[in-house]
Amino acid sequence: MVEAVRQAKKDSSSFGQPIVGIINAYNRFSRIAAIISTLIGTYVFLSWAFDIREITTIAHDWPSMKVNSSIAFIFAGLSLLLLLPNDVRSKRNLTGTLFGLICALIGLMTLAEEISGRDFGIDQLILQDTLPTLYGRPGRMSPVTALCILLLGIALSQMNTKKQLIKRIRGVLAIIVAVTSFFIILLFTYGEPVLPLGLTKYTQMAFHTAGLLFLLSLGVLFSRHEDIEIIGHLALRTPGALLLRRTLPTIILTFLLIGWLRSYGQHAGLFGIAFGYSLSMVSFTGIVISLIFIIAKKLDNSEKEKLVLVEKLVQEEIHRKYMSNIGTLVEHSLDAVVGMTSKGDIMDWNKTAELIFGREKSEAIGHNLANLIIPSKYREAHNSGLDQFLNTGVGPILNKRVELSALRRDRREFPIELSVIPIKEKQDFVFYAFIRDISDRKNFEERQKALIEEEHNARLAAELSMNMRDDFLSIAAHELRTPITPIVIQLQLLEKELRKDTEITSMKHMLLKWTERSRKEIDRLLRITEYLLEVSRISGGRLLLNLEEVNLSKIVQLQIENQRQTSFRTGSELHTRIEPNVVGHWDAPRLESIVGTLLENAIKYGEGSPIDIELETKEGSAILLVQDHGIGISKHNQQKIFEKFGRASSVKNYGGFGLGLYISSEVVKAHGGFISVKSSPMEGSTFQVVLPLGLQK
Amino acid sequence: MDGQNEKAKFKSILIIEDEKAIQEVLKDAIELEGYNVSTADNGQEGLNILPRMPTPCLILLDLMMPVMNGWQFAEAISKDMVLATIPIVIVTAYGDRAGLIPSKGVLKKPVDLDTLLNVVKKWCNGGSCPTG
Repeated sequence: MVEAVRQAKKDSSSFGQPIVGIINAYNRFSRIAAIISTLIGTYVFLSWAFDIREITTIAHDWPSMKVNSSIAFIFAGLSLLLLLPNDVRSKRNLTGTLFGLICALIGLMTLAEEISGRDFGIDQLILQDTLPTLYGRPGRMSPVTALCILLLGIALSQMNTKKQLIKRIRGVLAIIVAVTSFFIILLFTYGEPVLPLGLTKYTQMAFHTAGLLFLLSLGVLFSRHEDIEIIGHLALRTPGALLLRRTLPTIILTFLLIGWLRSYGQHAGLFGIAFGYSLSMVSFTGIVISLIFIIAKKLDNSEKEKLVLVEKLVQEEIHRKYMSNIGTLVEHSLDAVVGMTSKGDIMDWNKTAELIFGREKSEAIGHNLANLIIPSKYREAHNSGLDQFLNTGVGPILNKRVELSALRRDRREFPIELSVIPIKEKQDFVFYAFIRDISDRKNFEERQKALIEEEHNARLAAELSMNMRDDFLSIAAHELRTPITPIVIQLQLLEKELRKDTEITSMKHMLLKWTERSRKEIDRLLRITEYLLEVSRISGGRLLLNLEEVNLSKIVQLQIENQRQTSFRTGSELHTRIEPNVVGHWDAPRLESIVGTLLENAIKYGEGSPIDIELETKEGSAILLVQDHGIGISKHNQQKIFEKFGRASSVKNYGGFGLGLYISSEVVKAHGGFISVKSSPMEGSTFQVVLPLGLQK
Repeated sequence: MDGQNEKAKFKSILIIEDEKAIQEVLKDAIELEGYNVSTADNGQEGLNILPRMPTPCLILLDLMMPVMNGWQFAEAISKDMVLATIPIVIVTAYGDRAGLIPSKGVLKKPVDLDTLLNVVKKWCNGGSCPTG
């Protein structure tokens, strides 16, 4: 792609410029023409001087070159030789111009003689030439020769003119001479130079005269190639000029050859005039058509090449624009983009790279990347990784995300996320890295980690303190029992002693009442310690059920009987509907505790309202309902009451640890059942216990 | 003294309990039934007393005690052919931890008087007592 552009640029810049080699060839031709003219002129002049006629005529019956003509050619040749370098300031110019004028003067004088009919004596001025000519006077050149020499002399005398018009005229004069002399040469070629009929008697010219005139006129034209457009154009670096260079000599030579062949055939008696013309015309036509076809084809090809080139240029422009857009995107990428050569030098450095590394692009480009931004601890790994990739094509960190650290301008390290992509470029590699400063993220992660650890420690501490509390509860409960033991036994001993005698005094009666009251309080104390123990067992996962066949109906009835006195005191009527013999596998003491808790609560929070107690079996479960119509429990508190130390009412109004329902719920769950409550404030609560009958753990 | 108490005469019971108040009240309650009661404050003392007293028909053993606890005491006497035959009833607040000892029963503190006396009667009046 880039090659096409380079070639096109070169072509366009040199388009229309002359090709130096051709200009040099022009000058060489002019110099040789001048030298040949001088030499032949001199040679012919000497032939006249030594009377060697063969040289002056070349062929026996051809016209001879006259003495004056030879002198004119010597001057004309020298003039052209001197004026050849187009240097206005040269001293040789004067001599050259003078020689040109001498040449013109010879032609002019001869023409003047011819036109005036007088003899100025110039014909025999230098050497005697008494040979009769086919026409005119002996020793005098023909009028055509004289005219040509005059025109050539004028052209030579104006070789250094600066005026455009004169330059143009100079060119035209040279053309006239060239065409005339070419015409004469053709006459010789076609073998009709000597017939003194009609016009031709005025066009008598020696063959070498015509040749020298042709050479010199071309010499003038080629040495001043700007005069006539076609000559200048021939030297240009254009396809047209190239065609011209190729076809022009072909056409000229072909015409000469065909003309000569026609003439030769006619003279040899092979065919007549009409046949000869027809043959040459057919040949001309064929050749011209061929040439035109070649030209047309060349034109088409060049047009095609041009179109291909234009297409290429358009593609290149699109690609260039695309690359430029990509470049802009990279430059403004949120990530730092850094390019590195296979030698490890930085070759690209975008704006974000300037920002995060604190270095201007100019400070980074061309520097060794490892030394500039890689911390010393990674430098060795970077260099060996690069070597490894260049040798094996496998790189440890290529094409994936890696977290490392990098150096800022102040040599401080900061965490980065990095991905490196190798790009093959001809036989070499370049590497592009996308780099993200992850300091903020790292800080955030560390803070989060610290927070999580803190929270974890706090939880451990809480768990530890909870375990300590459970242990404490357990120990406290056991230790409380120790002092209770002697009290219980002594009260029992006392009671036993008091009842020994059948005679009951009023004092004895009082003592019995007191011991009984003490027993009850001790029982309460024991129940509390039992609660604490249960809680510590549940919390420690040590709640083991002692399952046996239990008649729940009896337990419920017994508990109702136990509570009847209390309910009587508060005014609550107990309405029961107990299905007899509801039997299952349960832990009996614990069921007693659950039923007791529910009844106690109903009486306590029922505030004198009637209490309904129902027990039945349904779908393999025992279902116990205890319903009061007291203060009720708000929705918010309904879940709370089954939690440890959870209570719906204030401890100021109602005593208790808030453990009864918690323990009940956990024990029911341990039996595979569940306990639930339906309640509205001021309407009362209904507790439902569902206990599977089967052998459940 | 009624007949039961008469039968209980000469029969010995050993109470091993570090808590003085419990030790004494148990002693009182059982002696009121007519048994000879020896006491020890820990397992080691119990081991010391056993050879110097008539072989007891029952040992009431606390578990948590200083110097030598109940588990260690039970382990120690289980190695003596004669002593290993004496029935042991454990009296403890930690009822759920008594399982490892080959005992004839567990009395959970606080001990109910009637339960205690029934246990004593069961092991000491049933004729299985060596002195009985």
